[in-house]
Amino acid sequence: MMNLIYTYQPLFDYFLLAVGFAYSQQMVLRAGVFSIGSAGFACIGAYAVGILVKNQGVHPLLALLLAVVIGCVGGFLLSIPLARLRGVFQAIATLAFVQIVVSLCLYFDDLTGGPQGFNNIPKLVQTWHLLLAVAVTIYFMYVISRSSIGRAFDALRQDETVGATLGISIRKYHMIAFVLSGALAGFFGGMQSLYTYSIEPEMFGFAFLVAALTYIILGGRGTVTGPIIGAAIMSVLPELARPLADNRQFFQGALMMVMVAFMPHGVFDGLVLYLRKRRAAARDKTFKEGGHGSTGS
Amino acid sequence: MAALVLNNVSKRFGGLLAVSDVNLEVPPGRITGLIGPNGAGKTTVVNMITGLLKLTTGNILLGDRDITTAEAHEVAYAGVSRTFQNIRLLPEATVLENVVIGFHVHVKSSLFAQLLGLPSSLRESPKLFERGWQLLERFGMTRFADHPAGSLAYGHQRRVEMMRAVATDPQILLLDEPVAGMNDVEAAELGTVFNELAASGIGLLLIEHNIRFVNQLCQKVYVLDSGAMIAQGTPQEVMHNPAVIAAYLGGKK
Repeated sequence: MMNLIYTYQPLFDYFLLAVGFAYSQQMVLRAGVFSIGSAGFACIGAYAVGILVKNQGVHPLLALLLAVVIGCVGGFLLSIPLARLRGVFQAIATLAFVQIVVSLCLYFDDLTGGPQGFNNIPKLVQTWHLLLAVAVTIYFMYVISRSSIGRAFDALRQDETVGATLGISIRKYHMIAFVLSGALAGFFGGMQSLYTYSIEPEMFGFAFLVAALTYIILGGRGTVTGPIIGAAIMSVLPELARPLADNRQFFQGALMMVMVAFMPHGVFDGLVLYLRKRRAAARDKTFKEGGHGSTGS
Repeated sequence: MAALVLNNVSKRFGGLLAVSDVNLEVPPGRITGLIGPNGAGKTTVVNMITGLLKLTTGNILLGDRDITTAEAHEVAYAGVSRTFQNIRLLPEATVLENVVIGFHVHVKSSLFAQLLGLPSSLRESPKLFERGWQLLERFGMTRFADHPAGSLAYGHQRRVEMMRAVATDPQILLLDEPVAGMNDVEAAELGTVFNELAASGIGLLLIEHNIRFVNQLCQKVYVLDSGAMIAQGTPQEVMHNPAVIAAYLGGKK
C-alpha cells in the first residue's frame, strides 16, 4: 500500500498543481473572457518566488504572497488594453502576452538563468502544502461562485449585453476575473517553483496553456467541481494509456475533438445540465398527470 | 418615480440618419406607446436610452438626472430596465437564476465580502433567491423555476424576461415588442401585467406592432417613421392621422 502511494505521489502532486492552474483558467472563461494568459502569470509567479527565495533569502510564505500580489497587479494591467477585445482576439492578445513573458525569461539570463533554467530552488513544498493550497482555493472558488460576482460572471459569459442592461459593468467584472485569474496562476506558479527544484521558461509555453485549457474543456466552465475532474482525467490518462505512450499527443488531440463535438460543456458541467433537464422534465410529467390542482411535488 | 424625457435625440450611422430629432416623454405610472413600421428606428431609440448606443445629438433625462452619456450598467442603476425584441435569456441558467441576476443592482454586500465569503455576502444570496421565488409566484411561473430558461416555450420565455426586468425594480421599463408572436389571449394576459406595473408607479414604454394591443393599453402614442416622429397623441387621434396611415399603408405624397 505504501509503495503504491509512493509511486503515485508525484502524480498526485502534479494533479494538485494542475487543479490550481485549472481554476486560474476557469476564472476568466467563466466570466466570458477568452484569456489564455494564465501561463504567463504562472511563469511570472514561479520566477518571482524562485528568485526571491533562493537569491534574496526571502521567507517562502512572503514570497508566495508577493507572487499573488504580482499576479493581481499583472492581471489588472493586462485587463486594461484588452478591455475592448473579445473572443479569439482576446486569445491572440493573451497568447502574445505569454510569449512576451517567456521570452523575457529567456533574455534576462543573469536573473533567470535563461534557457538553462533557474535551478537549485530549495524544495520547500510538500504534498500537504499543495493539498492545503488547493483546499483553500476550492473554498474561495465555491464562495465566489455563490456570490453576486459569480452570478455576474455567468451572466456576462452567456450574454454580456443582457448583463450590462441589468447593471453589470462589463469592464469591472472582466477586470475582476483577470485579477483573480492572475492571482491564482501567480500563486500556483510559485508553489510549483518551490516544488520542482528547477524551472525553465518553456515549462510555461504553449504546452502549458493548452493543458490549462484542456482541464476546463474536459471538466467544465461553470462549476467548482469541473476543473478537478478535468485535471484528474488529464493526470490519470497518461498512466492508463501507457501502451499508447508513443501516440499520447495524438490521443489527447482526438479526445479534445470528441469532447468539443459531443460534450461541449465538459464532463461535469454536461452531467449537471443533463440531470437538471431530466429533473425538470420529470416534474413536468407529474404536473401534467396530476392536473392543475396538484403542484406535482 | 421620475419621468424619462428625450430631447431632440438623433442617431447617425455613417451616412444614414437612423433617428432624427426625436422628442419623447415616458411619464411614471402610465403606458406610453411607440409604434412605427419596420425599420422606423424604434429599437435604435431603446438602445440609445439604455446606453448600448451613443447619441449623435440630443439628450436624455431621467427625472433630474442626465443619462445621455451613461453606460449601460449605469443606466440600469439609474432605474431604467428593458426587454429585448428577440428574447435574450441566459440559456444555461435556470428560470430562477435568470430572475435573480435581475437583482444585481440591489446587491449590498461589498466585493471584498463576496470574495472572502464573509457572512454579509453568504446571507445575501439566499435572500435574493427568496425574492426571486416571490417574483415567480407573482407571475405564476414557480413550476418552471428549475427549468433551463432556453428550453421554455416562447410565451414563457417572454415572461421570464419580463420578471428579470421587473426584478431590477425600475422606474422606467422599456418593452421592445413584448407580445410579438403571441395570440390575443396570451397578449391580453400580459396586458394585465403591464397595467399592474403601471399602477405600481412604473413608467412603461411599449414598442409594438400590434395596434389593437397598443390601443387597449396606452393613453398616449408616438409614431416613428424612417427615424422621424410623424405623429403623437391618443391612439384614436393617431390612427386617423393621414401621415400615419400613409406610413403604414402607403399613400399619396
